[in-house]
Amino acid sequence: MSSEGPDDAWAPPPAVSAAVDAPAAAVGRVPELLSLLDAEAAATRLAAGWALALVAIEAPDAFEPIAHRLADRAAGESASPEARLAFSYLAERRPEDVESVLDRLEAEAEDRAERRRYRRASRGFARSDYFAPPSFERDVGRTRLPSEASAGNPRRSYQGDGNVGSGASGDATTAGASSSGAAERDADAAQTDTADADAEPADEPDDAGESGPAEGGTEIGTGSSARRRSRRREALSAAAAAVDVESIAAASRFDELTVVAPPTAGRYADVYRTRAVRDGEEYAVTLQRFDPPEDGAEAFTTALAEAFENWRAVSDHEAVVTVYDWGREPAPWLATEYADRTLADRIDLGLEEAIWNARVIAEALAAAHERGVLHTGLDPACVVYADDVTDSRPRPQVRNLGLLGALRGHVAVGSALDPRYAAPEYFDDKFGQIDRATDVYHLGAVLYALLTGRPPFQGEYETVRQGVLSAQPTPPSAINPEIPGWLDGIVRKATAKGKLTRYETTIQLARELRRGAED
Amino acid sequence: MAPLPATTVFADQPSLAFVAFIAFSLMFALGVRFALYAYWNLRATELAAQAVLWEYLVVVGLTAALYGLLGGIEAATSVTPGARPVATPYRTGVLLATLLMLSLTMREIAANGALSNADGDAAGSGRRQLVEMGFVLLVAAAFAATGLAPRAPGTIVIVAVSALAIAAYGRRQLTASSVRGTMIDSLLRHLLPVVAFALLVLTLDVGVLAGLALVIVRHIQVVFVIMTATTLMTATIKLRQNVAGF
Repeated sequence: MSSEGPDDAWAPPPAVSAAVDAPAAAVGRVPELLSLLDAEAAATRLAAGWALALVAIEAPDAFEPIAHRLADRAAGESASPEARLAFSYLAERRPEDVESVLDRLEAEAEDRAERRRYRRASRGFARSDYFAPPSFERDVGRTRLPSEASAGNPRRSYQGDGNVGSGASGDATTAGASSSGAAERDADAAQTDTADADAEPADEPDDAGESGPAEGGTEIGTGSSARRRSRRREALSAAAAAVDVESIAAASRFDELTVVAPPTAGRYADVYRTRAVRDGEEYAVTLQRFDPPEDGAEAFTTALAEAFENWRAVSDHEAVVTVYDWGREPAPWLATEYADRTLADRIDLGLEEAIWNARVIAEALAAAHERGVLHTGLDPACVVYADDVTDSRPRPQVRNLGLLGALRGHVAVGSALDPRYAAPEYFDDKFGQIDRATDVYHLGAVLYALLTGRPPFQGEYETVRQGVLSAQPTPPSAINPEIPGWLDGIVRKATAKGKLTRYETTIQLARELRRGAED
Repeated sequence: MAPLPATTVFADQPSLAFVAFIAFSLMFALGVRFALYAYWNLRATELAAQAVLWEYLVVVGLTAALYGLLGGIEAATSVTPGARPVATPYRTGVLLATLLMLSLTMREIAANGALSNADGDAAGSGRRQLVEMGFVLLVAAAFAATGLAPRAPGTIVIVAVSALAIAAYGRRQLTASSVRGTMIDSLLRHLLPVVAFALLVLTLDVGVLAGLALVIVRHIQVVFVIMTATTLMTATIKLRQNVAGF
C-alpha cells in the first residue's frame, strides 16, 4: 500500500523505503514488495520492482528466489511490466545467475508439463517421481465409469451428491462416489482417463463392464470400436477372475460387485476399480486384494485384518477414506471409497489452500491417534480427493491408515514407503520406534510438499537417506519468498530429526497452522 | 538480631520430624526415579545434542535424591531414641544445586532448541560457560555458608538471592515459539513447577528474618518439599514417555 502525503503526493510505501535504505537487511520485506507489484498506483508498482531488484543485488542469498518470482510474474498473459523491468535489470547486472534461474524454471516447467502429459497419457497419475513406477504401477485405475460420457444412458450408476450412489435408471447422475463436484471431475477425467491398454477415445462411451454391453446411448460403433469394447470386456473378465471378485462379493456385504477397470498395481496390493451394489444403492469402490506370502501367511492375514478393522473404526471421520468392507477370504481384501486423485497430482496449490489441506490432514490423523490408530506411512499418495467438496474446494482424505505397519514385518519396507517422506526412525533405529511422532514427521513432510510442490529431500536413495538422517531441508520461504517465515518454523518442528523436538501431537501442528493463518 | 541456633528443629518437634521424614523420603525416592529415567533416556539416545540434556537431568535427579537423603537422616536421627541428632543444614546447598541444574537444562534447550547441534555457537557457549561458572561459585558459596553458619541472616539472604537469580536465569531462557507444541515443551512445562516449589523451599527461611518462628517456617517448608517431589514425579512421566519411544 502506498503512503499518501498531505497533498495526495505519492510517497513510497514503508517496505520500499526500507529496501532502499538498507537493501541487504530488507530480505524480510520481499513478500510485501512482491505484493506491491499488484498495487493500483503505477508509481508504487515501479518502486516495488526497483526495490526488489535492489534487494536481490545487495542480498546474494535472496537473489535466486527474487529472480525466480520476478521471472514468474514477467511471463504469461498477465505479465507485469514492472516485474519485467526489474528482471531485465537483474539480467544486465548478473547475467549468469539469471541464466541459471531461467534454466531451473525451464526444467520445472518441463517437469510440470511431463506430469500433465503423464496423467493425460491415461496410465494414471504421476504419483511418485522417486519410484519412477512402471506403467502398471498405479494406485487406482483411472477408468471412466459406465456411461460417464453419455448423457442419456439409463445405466448411470453414480450420484453427484452425497457419498452413495442412488438407484439406477433414469437419474441424471454423474460418475464418482459423492458430490456434485463429480461432474466437473468427470469432465476432467474424460480428458485424462483411459480404461486400459487400448486407450479408448475420450468421446466414446464405455460399456458397462462385466455386466454386459452398455445400453441406451451406446453407439453402434465401427468395427474397431467394437473390437476395443470386446477386448475391454475380455480384460475386465480376466481382471474379475484374477481377483476372484465373485468369492469376494459372496463374502462381502455387497449384493453385487463388478470390476469396471483392469487392475493397477498399488503400493501395497493390486487395485481394482469396482461398482458395488447394496440394497439397491450403488457405490464406487476401490477393491484391493493382498496376496499373502508363502511364509507367515496366517500372521500376514491377521496383521492386515487388524489394520483393516482399525481403519474402519476411524473411517467415520470426514477426512478419512471410508472403509466399506473387508475380509480374509479368498485372500485379505479391502473395499474402500473410491477416489482417483491424490495430493501428488495437485502440484500448484495456493498458500491458503495448502495450509487448509494440512490442517484437515492433521485433524484426521489426530482423530485416528485418539483411537489408537497410527498411519505410519503418510505421504502425498496417501492423501486423496474424492468428490467431497467443502467450502468450494475438494476435501483431502487420508487412506491406507495402519497398512504399512501391518505389512512391515512381511514385505520390504523400501517397496512400500516413499523414502523422501519417511521419518528418520525408518532409516536408523537410534531415532526410536515407529509411533505417533512418526506420523508427525510424515505430516510435516507432506506440509512441505504442499507449500513447495516438492518433497523435503530428493535424489537418489542414498542422497535422500543421508538427507533425512542428518541434513535440514531447504526452508520453504527460501524456495518461495511468498511463503511466510512462520511456516518455516512449523515445518522445522514437524520434521525434526529427534522426536523430542517434534510436535508432540498432530493437533498441535494444526493449532499452530491456524494461529499463524489468523495472525 | 541473634543468629538462630544450629541444632535441628526436628529434635523438639516430633510430629514435624515425622512429616518431614515422609517428605524427604518421597524426595529421595522420586529423585532416584527421575535420575534413573533420565539415565535411560541418555543411554537410549545416540544424538550428542540430546545427551547433554539428559546428563543435566540425571544430575537434577541425583541432587534431589541427595537432598531427600540428607533431610531424611536429620529427621530420623532427631526422633530416634538414643541417637545423636545429625543436622544437615548444607542440604540447602544441594537443593540449590538442583535448581541450578534445572536452570541450565532450560538454558540448554533455549540455546539449542532443535537439539540438533551439539556444538552450538562458539561465542555463545563461551559466554554461557562464564555464567555457568558464576552460578557454580554462588552455589558453592551458599553450600559452605549453610554448612558453617546455617542460621546466620547473611546465609539465609545469600541462599534466597541465589535461588531467585538462578530461577530467573532459567525462566528467562525459555523461548516459547521455538519449542512450543513439541515434546520438549511438554517436558519443560512439567519441570517449571519443580523450579517453582524448589525456589519456595529455598526462600522460605527469609520468613524467619521477618519474625516468623522457625518451627512454622519448617512446617510450611515441608509442604513445599512434598510439592517439589510430586512435581518431580509428574515430570518423570514425560521421561518415561520419551524412553518408551526408543
